[in-house]
Parts: sequence; structure tokens; C-alpha cells
Amino acid sequence: MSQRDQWKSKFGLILAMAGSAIGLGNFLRFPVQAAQNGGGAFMVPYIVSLLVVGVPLVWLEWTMGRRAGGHGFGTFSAMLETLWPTNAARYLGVIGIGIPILICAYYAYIASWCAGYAVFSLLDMFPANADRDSMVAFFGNYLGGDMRKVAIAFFVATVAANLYVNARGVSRGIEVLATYGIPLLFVFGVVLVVRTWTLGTPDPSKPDWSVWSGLGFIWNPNFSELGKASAWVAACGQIFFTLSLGMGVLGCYASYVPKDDDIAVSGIASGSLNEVAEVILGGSLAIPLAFAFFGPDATVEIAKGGTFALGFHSLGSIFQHLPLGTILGFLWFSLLFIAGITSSVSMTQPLISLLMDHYGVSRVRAAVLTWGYIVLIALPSIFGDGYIDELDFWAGTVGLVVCALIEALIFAYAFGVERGYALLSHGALAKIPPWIKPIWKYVTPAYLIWILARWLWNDAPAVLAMEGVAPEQRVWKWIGRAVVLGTFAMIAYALAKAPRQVDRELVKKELASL
Amino acid sequence: MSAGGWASMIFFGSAILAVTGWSIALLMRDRAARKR
Repeated sequence: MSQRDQWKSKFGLILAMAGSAIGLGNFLRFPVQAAQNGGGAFMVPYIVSLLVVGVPLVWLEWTMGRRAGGHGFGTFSAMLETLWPTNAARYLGVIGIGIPILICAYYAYIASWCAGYAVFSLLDMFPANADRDSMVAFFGNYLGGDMRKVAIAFFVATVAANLYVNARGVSRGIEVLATYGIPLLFVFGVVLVVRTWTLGTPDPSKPDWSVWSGLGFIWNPNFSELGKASAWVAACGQIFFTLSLGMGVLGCYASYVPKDDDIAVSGIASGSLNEVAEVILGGSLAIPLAFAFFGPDATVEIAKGGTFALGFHSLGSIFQHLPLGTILGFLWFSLLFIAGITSSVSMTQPLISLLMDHYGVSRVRAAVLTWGYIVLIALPSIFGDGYIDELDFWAGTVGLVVCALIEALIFAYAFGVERGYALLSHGALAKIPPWIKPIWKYVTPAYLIWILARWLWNDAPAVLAMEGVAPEQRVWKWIGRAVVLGTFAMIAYALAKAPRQVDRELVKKELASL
Repeated sequence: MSAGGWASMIFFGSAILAVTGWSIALLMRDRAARKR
């Protein structure tokens, strides 16, 4: 077997991991979740979720990944098989290869909007008055009107950029992108935060509409929300999205870590960098700006309208009304684009790894095949209304928790937490707290089962029955379901026919000695 | 923003920065040790 790629430096690895985790959700989803679920009090379930689900799963995925990498594989399937050498593990692992590809099919398209908006902002191409209504109309025209050709051109350019990075490989492509991209993202973020915090009260006739009141909108604690299960579910969901958990991606990146290198502190470093981007930068920008310009009532409405209403309509409008607004808008949308592309190049890596590690396909050919498939399943995102929502629910919401539950159960009960603790501690730069073992064994699985049961009970019946879905959207939703099932079936078939498989006899011998 | 808002922002922001700083300091110390 040819030598697998490896990260060139520890900091390159950490920045790449952070790049995978830092995405559009850090800047658009987190502030909305915080504002809707108790403000400063939301941080209580958020931090609890980080400690009982986030950190344990980050460590678990890094451990699984480094172990599978030692066997020459980076797929989720191989990660499970090296913990539990059975056919069940191999085929349950399909989910951790399919989910990131399905998410990437719409995520890359959304990232391309950010690239387009960055250029429009710099070239001052937004509507002259740039109020929210005209930005909504502009957005509709961009996605479904006269400007759709431009949207497709930016999507093609975004795919080409992703393909280039993936084709160069882990160390020369992804690591280089993250080494320059993530520091740049933080610089852009800090510039925007400084500008936001120095805005004060943009309209003196409305003294309550200030940035500080906007920060209060996110941070003022409303402890009555803590008694509601919805705040805890929202916090746990946010931890999942923000740390790229349950996607097979962290493990895939960790499979390129040398087997004696630290993963414990590196996992904390990349996760905490993600938290800096989310809580400190993400919490300081979108909602405070919307509050200062549109006031409390409109901000509630914008937050309910979701991430696109906040990121593209509202922020796009606000920056056009500030001095040097074209530059600030460019920085904002570029920041989102960097966050997007450093995540999308990670989502493709599990399938690329399948082709390279299990089939011996060359790096360039694996990247071309992967991105070819993504473009194919992304086409309905461009032309079909409702398709993105369907993929987002099954792959980007339920799928993540199912995937995490599978890995948590196999790790804790088939492999064993004592072995897991020993593997994580190998090469660690700090002592791992032993309380992680009962958390892995009892708390994380129980928390995941609760979250999954709640989503399936509350949301899945309405989604399955397509309640409130317009007739013209139904066909696209069915196409979405067919794509989800078809992708999983195809990956399962590819794994079954792969000429290179995990050496189960070797794994069994290792397990006997661990 | 209320006093509680300031307190939660400063507390959680500082905690996140502290953990980030601690982990990066450990990694830098390890890198320096390896170079020696």
C-alpha cells in the first residue's frame, strides 16, 4: 500500500481541524440560537453540552481516527471496524461517509453565495438604497431570477477551488488552505467586531437601538429558559453543528496524524479555537448589528427568519449604510466564504479516503470523482425548491446524531472505555481526566438518545408527512430522499466490493493485547 | 446590556480564551522541547 499523506505540522493540523469546525453556523446560527433560547442563560446548557457531548465526542473521534489511520484507512467504516471487527461495523460506517457528502451538496452551494456577495459588495453592485426588502428581492433574483447564471458561475468557481485543494491532498492542499485561511478569518472577524463595537447608536433619534443593547439581546440571562427542554436540545444541536461532530470528518482528519502524536490537547486546541470564533466573534456581530439598525422587534423577526435572512438580507443591507461599507461587506462575506470552504474541503475527505485507501485510486482522480458526484447531487439545490431542507433535515440534523450515537455505543460497549482511555492517553501532552470514562459510557449515549428521540418524536412525523409543503416542492423533497438513500446504498456497495479492507485478524490480535 | 449580560459575556468569553491559551501554550512548549 502506498504511503498515506500526513499533516506537516501540529499547528497545521489544528488549524485544519478548526477550519473544518468553523463554518457559517458559527456566525449565523449560534447568535440566533442564543437570542431565542435565554440569551446569556443559553450559555449554561451550551457549556454543559460542550462538556458532556462536545469534548467527549471530539476526543472519541480523534482517537478512532488515529487508530484507523494506523491501519491505513480514514473512512468512518474503517474506524468502526478497527474498534469492532465485524460486518455490522463496516456497514454502519456507511453513514459517516455519506452524511458529509450529502451536506456538502448544499453547503458548497451556500458557500458560493458568500463568494458572490463578497464580489458584489466590493464592486458596489447591491441595490442603490440597499434596504432589507430590496436585499430580499436581490437574493431571490440571484437564486431564481435573472442572476441565476451568475450564481451558477460562482458555484462552478467554488467547486473548482475545492477540487484544487482536495486534489493537492491533505498536507499540500487542506493544511495550506487552513494555515492561511483561518488566521485571515480571525483578522477579518476582529476588524468587523471592532467596527461593530464602535458603532454606538447609529440613529441618535432611537437611543435604545444601540450595539450594546444588541449585545444584551444575546447575553442578558433569562434563567426561566433553563427549565425548558427546548433550550437544552437547541444547545446540544448547536454543539453538534459547530464542532463538526457525527460526520466522520474529524476522525478522517485524525487518521493522518502520526500514531504516537498527541491528540488530546490538539483536540481541545482546535475545539476551543472554534469556540472563540463562535462565541466571541459570532456573538459580537450579526445580532448586535441587526439590533442597532433595525431595532428589537425586527431583530426577533429576522432571527426567526433564519440564517439567510440574517446573513444575506440584513447584514448585506447594514454594511451598505456604513462608511467604507463596500469593504466591510466584502470582509463579512469573505469571512463566511473562508469559513465555508475550509469546512467543505473536509466534508469530501471521507469519500476521497474511501477511494484512495480502499481502492488505491490516485488523489487527483479521487477528488475529481468525489466532486463530480457532489455537483450531480447539488443540481437539485440550484433548481429545486425544498431539496436543501430535506437534505438538511435527514443528513444535517438527524443523521449527525445517529452517526454520533453509533460511534459512541461501539466505542463504549464493543471496544470499551478503558481501551479508549488508554489510546487517547497515548502521546497526550496532559493527563486526561478519568471522569471521561463514565461520561463516554453513560452520559454521552443517554444524552444523544434523548436528543434523537425528541427530534424524531417532535419533528420527523411532520417532515415525513410533508405537512405544509407546497405541491411544487414535494417532487424535490422526494428527490432529496432518493438521493439520501441512493448515496448510502452506493457507498455500502463500494465498501462491499473494495479490494482493500481492514485486516480483522490483526485487529482481533491487537484487541486481545490492549 | 444588563449587569448579568456583562457578567456572562466576560465570564464565558474569558473561560474560552483561557482554555484556548492553555492548550496552545502546551503545544508550543512541546514543540520547543522537540526542537531542543
